[in-house]
Amino acid sequence: MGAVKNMVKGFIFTGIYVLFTVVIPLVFFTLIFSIEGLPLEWEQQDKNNITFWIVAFGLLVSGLAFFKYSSPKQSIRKAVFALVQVIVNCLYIWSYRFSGAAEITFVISDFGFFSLDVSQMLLIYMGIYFLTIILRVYDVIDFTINREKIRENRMK
Amino acid sequence: MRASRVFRLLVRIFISFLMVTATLVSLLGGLSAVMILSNQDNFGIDTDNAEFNLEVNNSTLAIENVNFSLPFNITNTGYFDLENLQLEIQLGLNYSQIDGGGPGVNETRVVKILERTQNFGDIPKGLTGNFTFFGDNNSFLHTNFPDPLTDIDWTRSPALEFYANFTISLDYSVGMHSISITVINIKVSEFP
Amino acid sequence: MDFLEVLAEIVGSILLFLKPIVSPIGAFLVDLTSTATQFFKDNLGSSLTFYIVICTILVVSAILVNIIWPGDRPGSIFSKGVGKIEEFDDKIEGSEDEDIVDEIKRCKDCGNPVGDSEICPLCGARQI
Repeated sequence: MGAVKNMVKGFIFTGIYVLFTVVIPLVFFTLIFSIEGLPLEWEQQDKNNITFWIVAFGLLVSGLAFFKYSSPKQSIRKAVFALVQVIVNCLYIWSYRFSGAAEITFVISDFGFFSLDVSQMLLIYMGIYFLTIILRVYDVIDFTINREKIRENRMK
Repeated sequence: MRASRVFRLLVRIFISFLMVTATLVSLLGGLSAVMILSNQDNFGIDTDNAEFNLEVNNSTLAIENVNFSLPFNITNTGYFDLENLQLEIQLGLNYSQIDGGGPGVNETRVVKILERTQNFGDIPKGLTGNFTFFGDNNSFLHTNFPDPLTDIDWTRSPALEFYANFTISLDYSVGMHSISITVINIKVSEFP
Repeated sequence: MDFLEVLAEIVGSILLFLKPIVSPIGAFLVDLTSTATQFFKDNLGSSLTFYIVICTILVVSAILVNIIWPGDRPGSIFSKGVGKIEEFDDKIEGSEDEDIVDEIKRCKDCGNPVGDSEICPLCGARQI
């Protein structure tokens, strides 16, 4: 039953990740681009760019989430895939920047334009995220060193 | 619980704390940026007191000295300091070019005569910063000036009009947000 | 003072203190991530097929791995090995008892433990 329970958990979390990393951003950007009269300086190519990379990296993150959440608790494979997922998550977050979503320009007709650059904000989040990567590496080492004890506890 | 798991829990709590802090700063910064920008009274560009001084040689009509000053103010009604405030001004000269459209046909032209960026430092929260942008003679693009004898149609009234594009840029929310506001084609002066 | 102003003051101070530590780390990670995303953009940026295939491989392999090695019991392909391990465990337990029994020196006549003594304290038999 352990395997079935783990896989159900994996599917649930994959669904959540797909929702938050792919569906919601896609819906958001599609809505933003479809609203007429919104004074945003984005072109169709920008929209295609943003949505492509959100879906691409979102799929990778979700696939890795399935492997991670369907693995037994404190297992080495769970730790390894959690580490890979966090690294791919970095690529996902950064793709917002290089897709142009981190620099937004609002056009105010007959007046000028206003632009907001959140690259520095992303930099700070990436710095905090690096600590998460270190923590995941720590997990891999911890689960490898203590694997016998962990297996013993799990199989009781 | 193993000691390694306790250590891990503490690190996770610390990381969560950092994330929450960064998110709160970002949200509060966004909120107060909207508060500042939504009120036009917070930005004042005093075009009425803008000065464009031109010294022309009476015999050759060559431009010997030119400077430009523009007072402006910004009120910081937000929660964080406005940092690294910069103002960039592009000044354009609008005039009627003699024979610009062919013999006997004058054509309206705009040439860029000034492009300068000036730094004004920070505006602490709750305060109003009063500044004066100043462009001296060296800041002007003298090669772009039309020849006052042969190019400018002085019969047009006014003969010369000065238009400016302003770009105010600053950092906000402890440097997390960089904001830039560009206002285009504001008439600042005319001559005569 | 407004609650939000107080909150902004506190979190702003915390971030101002931590920013010089976090930002350089972030810049380092940004460099690595920019290189990686540029690689993806240049080589794998034309079609979603690659990403769909990888996602599918991850899901299918996770299902297979968790069937073979579920984690709450030894893996099913090692089921013969499980019996052997249990047998071996039994043998070890048995031999441990025997070893313990063998270690205690007993009187050959009455079976009473005599230790290092040459004469049994119970029946008086000489232990040679």
